[in-house]
Amino acid sequence: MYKIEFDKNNGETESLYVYGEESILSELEYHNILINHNCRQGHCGNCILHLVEGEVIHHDSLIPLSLSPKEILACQSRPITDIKVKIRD
Amino acid sequence: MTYSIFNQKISDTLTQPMFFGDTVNIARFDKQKFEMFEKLTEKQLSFFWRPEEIDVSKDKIDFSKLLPNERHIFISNLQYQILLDSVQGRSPTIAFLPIVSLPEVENWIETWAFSETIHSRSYTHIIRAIVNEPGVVFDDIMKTDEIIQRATSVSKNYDELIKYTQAYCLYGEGKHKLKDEELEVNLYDIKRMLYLTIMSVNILEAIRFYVSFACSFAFAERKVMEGNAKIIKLIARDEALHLTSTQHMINLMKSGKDDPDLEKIAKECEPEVIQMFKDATQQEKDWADYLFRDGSMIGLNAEILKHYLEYITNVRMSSLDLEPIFEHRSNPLPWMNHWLDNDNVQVAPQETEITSYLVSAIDNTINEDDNDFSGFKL
Repeated sequence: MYKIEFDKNNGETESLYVYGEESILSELEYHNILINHNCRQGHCGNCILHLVEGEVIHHDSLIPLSLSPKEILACQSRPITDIKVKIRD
Repeated sequence: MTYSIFNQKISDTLTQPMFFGDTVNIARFDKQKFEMFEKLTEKQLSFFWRPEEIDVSKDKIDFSKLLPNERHIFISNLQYQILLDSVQGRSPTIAFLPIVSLPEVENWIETWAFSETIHSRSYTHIIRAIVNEPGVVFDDIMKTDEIIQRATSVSKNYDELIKYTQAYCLYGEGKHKLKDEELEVNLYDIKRMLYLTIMSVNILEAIRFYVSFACSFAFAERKVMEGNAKIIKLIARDEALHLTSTQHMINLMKSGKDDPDLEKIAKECEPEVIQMFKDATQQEKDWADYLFRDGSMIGLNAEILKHYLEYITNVRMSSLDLEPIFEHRSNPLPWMNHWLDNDNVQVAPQETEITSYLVSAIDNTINEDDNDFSGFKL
């Protein structure tokens, strides 16, 4: 199992443990952590997260969004190590 | 102004707003003001599918075994989607094309509307497969009060915009006497109608459709009506793209990157927009009561559907930087994600229709910094 640490940007961090079979967005939803999202298909860019630590498998986004090196789409990525993510500043 | 299908004025499309600038003349895509619409068009084209690709023959057997209340849910749900796609298959072209000013937006609107017509064709494909008299299902749509009420709410913004833009395209601004009424045509007011129409379309594709999707996927979670659910999954994929487009248009308008009038209008209209979200959610809740009037089905009832509606309304409003109107709640239908997310389950190709196959979607551009073949020698 992998650990996802979600930094809420208010000093609090929530930790969840996942099998890495579903998208980070779905995993956060299952644990009642609601982040902005919309299309779930990788083209609206609403669910961009900042990957602070760890590695993910990232599907190609359907529409090339301008993602910075440490930015990921929560709906298109799954963890492959323990990770720490936070909402984009 | 008088509308011309080929405006001979030479204008730079990079300086035009999305709507109500110079009408488009040359359909050119070598340069784009808002590249996102070109990407959306390419993506929509790569999604191309036909309902006949999906086998719905088992659905007929499943349908015959459904309880009467479940048949009511299934058919009413499909009838509602037929209404929504009938509206969406024709209205973007009629309402938006005469006033669009950017070739990439024009092209996107046409591609968008075309994809909705595929959805309409797929409902006929499903209904033909599951009932002996498909005509009855279609004829009943216009006789069902609950559906007709909703037809009014999804088409009223379009109708108003179309009426005023037609007058504007024929006579320009001013007071115009029509056969039985006098219209005060003012461009600022028409832009306001445009903003509210795009918002109404966003609500239609972001919330109203999802009530239907939930019902279709709930049947398939029980392993019944799976052919139908596969088609609805393809429709949902398209709708997510359309939703991105209206959301992008709204955010461009709100940000002032498009037309300063629309930035002002967006601020003025915020209370009205919030009310639109509230009204639509209430209408969908009433619809949930109608769907489940004879009893619920395994996995779904009116109460859960209403909670899902509140959840999805909050999500959609947040995407438009609006304060959510319902209390924070978790997703009451988490299994919906399996149907709405990209394919995340591997299956043998012969076992299912492949929905992840995209037409012409391979990126074959090669840059100088690409070094994938740097060690390759002949």
